[in-house]
Amino acid sequence: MEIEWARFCLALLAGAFLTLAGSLGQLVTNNSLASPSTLGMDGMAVLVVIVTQLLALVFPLPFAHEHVSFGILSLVFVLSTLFLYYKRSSLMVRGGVNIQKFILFGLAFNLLVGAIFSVIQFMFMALNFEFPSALWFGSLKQYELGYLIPFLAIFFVVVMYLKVNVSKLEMLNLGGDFAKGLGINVGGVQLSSLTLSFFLNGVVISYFGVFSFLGLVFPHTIRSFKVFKTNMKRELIWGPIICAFIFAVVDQFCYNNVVYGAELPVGMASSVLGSFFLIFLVLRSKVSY
Amino acid sequence: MRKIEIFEEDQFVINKLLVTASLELVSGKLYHFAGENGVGKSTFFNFLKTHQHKYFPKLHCQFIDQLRFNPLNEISFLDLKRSLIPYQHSALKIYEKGLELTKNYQSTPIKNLSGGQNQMIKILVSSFLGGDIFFLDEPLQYLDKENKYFVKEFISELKHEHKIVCLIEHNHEFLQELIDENYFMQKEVEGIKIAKGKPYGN
Repeated sequence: MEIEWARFCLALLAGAFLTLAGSLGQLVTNNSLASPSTLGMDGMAVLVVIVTQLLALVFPLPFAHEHVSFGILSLVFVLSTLFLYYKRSSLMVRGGVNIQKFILFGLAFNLLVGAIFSVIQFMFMALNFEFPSALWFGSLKQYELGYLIPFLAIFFVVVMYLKVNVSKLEMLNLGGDFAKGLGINVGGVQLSSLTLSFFLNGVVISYFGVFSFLGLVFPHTIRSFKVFKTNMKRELIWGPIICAFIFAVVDQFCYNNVVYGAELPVGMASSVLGSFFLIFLVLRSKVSY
Repeated sequence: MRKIEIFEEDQFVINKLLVTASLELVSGKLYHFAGENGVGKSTFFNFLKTHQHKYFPKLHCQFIDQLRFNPLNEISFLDLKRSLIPYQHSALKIYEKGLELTKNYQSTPIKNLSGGQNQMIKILVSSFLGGDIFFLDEPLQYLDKENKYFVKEFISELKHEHKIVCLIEHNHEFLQELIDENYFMQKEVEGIKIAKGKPYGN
């Protein structure tokens, strides 16, 4: 089997980001059904990519699509962080984020993006343009070595974030009210974790497309092993590392196995494998789920 | 002896309600907060929890509230102990007795515990962490007779160790002999008043 090392490294980072985004989303909402897909983070990132592609139709873009998407996403990230900071009083309830409001907002936003997407798809068809359907099949096929620079920079930020916050996140796992009792700024940790989760997921979508529900499947898979299910710190640190390797190996498998002349998108392969594995986990542990 | 005057006819807004309070807390004493259901006793404790750095800047606070521990994963008390260490102040002596009482379910995932077992783990965690000022919101809820006596002993030790203890408990008769002062919360036309002594109007 031939290994593309740069692609392997990017797949490692993408897999780690998706897993951590999922774990943080579930931990902060204290809801094992939460994931970037259900919290509206996929929707926001896809909207950014669609806007970039529409911009490309109107203006010649100075950089490749994915870099422009990443730039717009970073801008959205900064603006949403500022928005959340100034609007924190309306999002907070008893010193923590109003999670129900947040999840409902996420679902509503996903619905909105779905509606926008349908309208755009109709317009493309009516105007006889080719619709960019490749977005829905997450793949590292179009990777470039230069992508490693933003990915490594973000990886550094993630390491620093976890170093500072991992023990607070462990306490948050017992409940926001308990963590608050220990003097932890629960609202701050929740908002920063959610925005980081959004950013990590958005970066992967900007460069490689949508990897639906991997942020749900990976954390559940990790949490099914005894060594992880009793230790949130391990889940947050080692979980992304292990899932990153699984993701990168599946990606290399896709790279080396062409089906009818086309490379199998790793997003599709990992979704199929992951969904079957999640069904297996749910059926196996009748009491816990 | 530590004496804290956190409010002296201070006014603040909790959940859009104006609250006027005069509180003087002295170490080694148990203060019982009484008032009818819905007057805002738990909300007041939660307010103090959120603003603990402002009102108790140099003190380690401990809160045992009514909500259950509900972790996402299958963490047990034995797994949890390691991650509590950075937040530990000084364990109480009664922690050892608590360990003995809870030995049958210390390794059970917390999310699978019954209401009473969960409550005991919360008290055990609190006695492991220690602190200067304890806020107990219905600590006897879900507990059987033996465990209720453990809570009584826990509060006695807190008093003996010169901690400040604030309590909300509807079955306060069980702890009556330990209570030193009563604070009453009462709804009035202009808002809620919290003051020492008998309820307003009595």
